[in-house]
Amino acid sequence: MEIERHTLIETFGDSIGRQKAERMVTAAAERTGLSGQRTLSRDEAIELADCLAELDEAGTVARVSASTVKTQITTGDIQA
Amino acid sequence: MTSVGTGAGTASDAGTAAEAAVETATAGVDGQPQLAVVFVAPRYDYQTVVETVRAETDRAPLVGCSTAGEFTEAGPTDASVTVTLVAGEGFAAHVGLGEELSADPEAAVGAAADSLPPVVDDDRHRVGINFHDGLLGRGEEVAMLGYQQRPVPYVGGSAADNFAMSETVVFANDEVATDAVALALLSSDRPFGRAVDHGHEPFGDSLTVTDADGSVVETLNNRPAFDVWRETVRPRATETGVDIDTLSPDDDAFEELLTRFEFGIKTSDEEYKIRWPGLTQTTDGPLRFATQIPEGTELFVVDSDAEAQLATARRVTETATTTTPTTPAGAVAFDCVCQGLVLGEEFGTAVDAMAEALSAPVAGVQTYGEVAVAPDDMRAYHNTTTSLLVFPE
Repeated sequence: MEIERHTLIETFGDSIGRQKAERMVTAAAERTGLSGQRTLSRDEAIELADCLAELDEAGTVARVSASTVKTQITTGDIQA
Repeated sequence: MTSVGTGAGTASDAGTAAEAAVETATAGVDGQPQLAVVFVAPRYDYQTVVETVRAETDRAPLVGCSTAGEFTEAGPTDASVTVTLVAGEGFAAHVGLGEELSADPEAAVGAAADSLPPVVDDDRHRVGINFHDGLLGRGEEVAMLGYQQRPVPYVGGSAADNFAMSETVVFANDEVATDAVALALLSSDRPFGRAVDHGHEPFGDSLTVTDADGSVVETLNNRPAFDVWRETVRPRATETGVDIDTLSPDDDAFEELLTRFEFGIKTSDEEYKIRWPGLTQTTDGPLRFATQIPEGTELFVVDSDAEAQLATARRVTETATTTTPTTPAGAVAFDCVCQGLVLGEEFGTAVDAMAEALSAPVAGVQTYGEVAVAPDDMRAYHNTTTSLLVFPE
């Protein structure tokens, strides 16, 4: 299963807002070495979601949102 | 086939009001109820209502909450017990309760989910209902945690207490609990209908939350938040005849303006979710919201008048009915208490519009926040919004 990075931004953005989601996903992608990839494997998407929750900018809502994104990846509710 | 009945009781005695509500609702269902959704005004003894409904429905699974208003297709009621009953061989419901929500939301939601069956890959259709304490200001977390436990679409809301702001409760089968979450997992052999809508339009420039703690926003764009909101709203407030610069928190217009000119978090090119700053008590600094607003969030001031809210009531119902291919058996609506404030005397007209568009029984509750989760819409938690669940026949 492959997941577009913009799909992750859209899903994360539903919770914390589009602008902040773009900023955080970009930061998480840089930290995980995935910044050059527009398409992610399932495992890479989960790694990126884990990283989102660990960013300094992540508060309670963003952390819960990141774990919700992981649930959606696991259930197949988000995909390319 | 699934059938739905609604009823309201307004007797001063809790047991008598509950009996009347169940009696009217029972007339609308065919067979033993499989679910009772119960909304109770704060003037009643909640435990008596719950015990009465459980006894009168042969202990059907029960879920519900305290309110800031209730209604049925017959119109708004004045501080009532409102009961929705759902019956049908193809329909099933399970309910769970989690307590000490403020101490550990994840554990509380997990405890509520422990009473629910797992979600399995079969041909049944599922939807969840999430009710939680409305005074904790953590509705967004609780809505997402419910989805994580049982990944199905959700409706629901934050329990209310008619603006007393002292205690809200949820109901789960025989239990009445504050600082708690109640989850219900419904399944049907036919698809449910759902929709969420708010009818607000953004105006003005984008604003960034630059200093916030929980639900208190100190600054927007590095300036005192109230000042920024006042500057943005001033021209439109003037059009309504209000001098926003001399407004006092004691004036009725103060709350009215904060309720009409709320904030929207932009979640996509066309979508916003609404945040209500109506807990603001001063004009010299922060804005106080009903739920958490993290730093770095991009906000827009939004506007919605009574006309827009009336159109929303009809539109959300029409949308929900088109998402189920079968005839609606009935519906439950989760409406924000702010919509009642915006609509005023027109609230009954909105209920009429909803009932007319549905052509089936509908009961509703006015909440302190609305849950609406779907696989393609994780906005999850809203203010001044209608979240609607339609039961298929």
